[in-house]
Amino acid sequence: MLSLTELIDQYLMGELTGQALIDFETRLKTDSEFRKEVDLQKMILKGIELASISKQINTAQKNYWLKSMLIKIVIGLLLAVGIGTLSFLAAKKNQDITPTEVIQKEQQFMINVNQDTLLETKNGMVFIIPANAFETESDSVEIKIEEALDAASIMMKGLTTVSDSLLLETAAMFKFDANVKGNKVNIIKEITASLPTDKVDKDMMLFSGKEDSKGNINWVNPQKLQQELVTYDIEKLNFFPKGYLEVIDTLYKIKGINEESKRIYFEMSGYNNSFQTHETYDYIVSEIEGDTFGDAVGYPSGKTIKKFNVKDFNFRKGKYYKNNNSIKDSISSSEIFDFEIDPSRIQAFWNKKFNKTILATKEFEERMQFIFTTCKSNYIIQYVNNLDKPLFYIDSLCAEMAGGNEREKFLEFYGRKNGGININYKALNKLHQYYEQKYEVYKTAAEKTWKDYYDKNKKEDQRYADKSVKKSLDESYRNSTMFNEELCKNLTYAYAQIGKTRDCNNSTPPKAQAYTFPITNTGWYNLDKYVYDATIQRKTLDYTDPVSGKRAVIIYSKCSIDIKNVDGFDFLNVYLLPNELSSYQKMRKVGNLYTESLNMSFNNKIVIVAKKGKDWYWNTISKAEGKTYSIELKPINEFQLKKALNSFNESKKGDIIDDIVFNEYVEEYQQALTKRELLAEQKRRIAKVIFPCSIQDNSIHANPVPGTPEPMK
Amino acid sequence: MEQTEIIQKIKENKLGKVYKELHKAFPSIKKWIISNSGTKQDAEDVFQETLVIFCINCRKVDFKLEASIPTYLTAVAKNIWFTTLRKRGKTIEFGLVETAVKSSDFEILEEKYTLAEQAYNLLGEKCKLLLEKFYILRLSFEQISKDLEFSTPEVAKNQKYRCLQKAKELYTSLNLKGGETC
Repeated sequence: MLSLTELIDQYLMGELTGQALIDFETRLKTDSEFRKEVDLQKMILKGIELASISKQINTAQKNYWLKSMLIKIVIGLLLAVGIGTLSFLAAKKNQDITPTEVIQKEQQFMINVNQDTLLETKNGMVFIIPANAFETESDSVEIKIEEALDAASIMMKGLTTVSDSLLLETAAMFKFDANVKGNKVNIIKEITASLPTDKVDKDMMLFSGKEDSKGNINWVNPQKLQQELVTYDIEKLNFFPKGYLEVIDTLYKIKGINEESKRIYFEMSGYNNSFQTHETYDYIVSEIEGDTFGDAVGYPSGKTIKKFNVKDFNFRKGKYYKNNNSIKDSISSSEIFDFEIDPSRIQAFWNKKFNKTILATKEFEERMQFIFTTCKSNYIIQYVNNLDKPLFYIDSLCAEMAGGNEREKFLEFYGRKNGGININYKALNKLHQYYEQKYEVYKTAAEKTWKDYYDKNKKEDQRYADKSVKKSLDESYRNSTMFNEELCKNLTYAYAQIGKTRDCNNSTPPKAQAYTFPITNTGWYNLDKYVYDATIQRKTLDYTDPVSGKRAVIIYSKCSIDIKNVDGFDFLNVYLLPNELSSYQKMRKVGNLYTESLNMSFNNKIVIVAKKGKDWYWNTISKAEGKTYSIELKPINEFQLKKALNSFNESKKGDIIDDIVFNEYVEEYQQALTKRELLAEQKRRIAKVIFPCSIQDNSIHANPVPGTPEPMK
Repeated sequence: MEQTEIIQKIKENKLGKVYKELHKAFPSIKKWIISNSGTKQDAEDVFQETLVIFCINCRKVDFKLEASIPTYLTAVAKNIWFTTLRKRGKTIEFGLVETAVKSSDFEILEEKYTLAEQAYNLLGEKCKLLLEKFYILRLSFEQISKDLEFSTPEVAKNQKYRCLQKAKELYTSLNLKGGETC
């Protein structure tokens, strides 16, 4: 049987035929809800088509652009470094240097174009050549490099340093050629050159050499050079999202970047996933008499558990339901909502291992602050994966991935031409591995911590639910026993008053529902009913036997207790202990008073037990009467309280102790719940700052652009 | 390359193979737009939208091309540029009414479709791939499960359902928000 979605798919994809198609179209005309669903699905399919076409166009455009791009000046790419308007003075000073000392031979390298390559010349120039950087079908390309890295070399090679008639101060010149079988090939990806120098002059620029017909070179098209980076102690840089330090200062009075502020931040890894899962899917439902008991619904994490009064309901069972969406292979909610920067990602590089890399720079710190606002970890991955590249190169990768304002910002970063930090391949690989491993370890550990935390809470909640249900059943049973005992006593006593003997063992009470029929003979059946009604309603019985004229009287008298500071206790119970019954009755709180109708046939003792914090309070009324008492509770230590309770008979003592223990447990649970809520609230406030995209409006966020980005030209 | 072959390639999602042919129309479109108050960037944007319309329409069962591809692309581009200028509060004189295109050809530029595209783009990467493979590339769940490393085709099918539902929710939410994104 097809689902509705599948059926609509078939229709929209033109796969529905025959009767099925006729039925579908008929329903489309007659069923407006159905039509609405079809329209919605159609719209989404259009959206998918539109996105797919746009993607294809972008890819095709890019490929076309790359293929057609010619780097015209690289028919023998001549690049020079210089600064305009200053004079070229080096020649005379170096005239005594012999040609053999300074003229370097052309250096040749054969490289595999399918992989990234790093070339180092004899004079220490370094070229970073990304994979597929050349427009060629061949797997290998021959690179020829000529260098003139000092004034003497420049003179000996007869190279001029003139830019549109102005002399240049030059730092170096070099020529970079790429050939396949003797034919020059074009560069289609940016190659990065690094030139060794004793002193960095910030004003240096890059010129391209243009040869005229006489072989003279005019240096044109000056470009800003990449700016060298200075590294700092990475552990002191700020890789917290904006607003985080302020929040933890408010919440915990923790200031600045230190172990503690980092710990709290890193602990938030995995919070978002657990937040989604628990908030949305977990709940408890208790059942009452076959119906779902809505008011007893439990607790999505962080939400207030509604208290339910077990006394009021006869629970049959408590049951957990879980809509478990986290099955293996599923696209988890965390993936669909993977719009945040996981603190584990930051933790994995925010340590001294990454000192002396591009990450340990103020420039990267600034980029991170921006990346946090995008919520996209893909940008971070680009920087971590390209530690050997200059920052501006990675900025361009990010700009290629981005759109809109994000792209603009990365282009701005790119325009700054921030450079890189030298790092050898061995160290690079090690750091890669380290980052990946640590990220997984931290992430897994953090997720486990959250899971354990939620599991522990869930266990506690389950225990509470189980105990509550058991308590409810015990109370029902005890109340019913107490009622039967009192009814039995009342019957015996009432019958004795009219001169008849009544055996408690035969005191089966009449059913609540009964057949009605005329009574022709007098007898004890009537009295049974009167006594039953009086007992259940706790109202005075005053019965006159129509045969003997004798009266049977059982007096119920209202007793109320006004307890001073009644609301100042964690819990307070008023136990009514009739001497002839085996257990207690709990007096109900009505307004500010505890009230119950006392059966005056018994000697009624009242015991009040309360607890506040760790302190116990109590008071007693040894023979209660039908009136209002004003009572102030007295402190009592636990030992004395136990001793006092021990003075009751075994079953009464046991029942009261059980009840108090349960009350203590409920109180502890409620306190734990309050703590849990406080913690959840604190974490939520932190999460709002560090997961701004999915916590604040809990809806939708753009995803990073897929695929491996290409650097910009 | 024959026109029918170009259209066929587009239907087969092989735009890259024919892009060079389509791009031949760009220089004249660019020239026309620049001479009608536009910039080079405007021309590139218009050409991009033109291609979207052309490709979407090529995929329609009832689409008939009644002019050459460059003529059609130019006509579409001009119409887009007229609309753009109108939106910018400018008008230009034009002598010819572009007859190679029908108003229905521009349906895809309506806001509701761009919202649907936005909704799709807001999905996770795996979701997007899954839906694209199913609806655009028309791959079987068996193939999809292999490509995207789902354990069984059934799992892929379930996930496709979830992703589609998610896209619907996002679309509805975007509609309610009036097309805003966060």
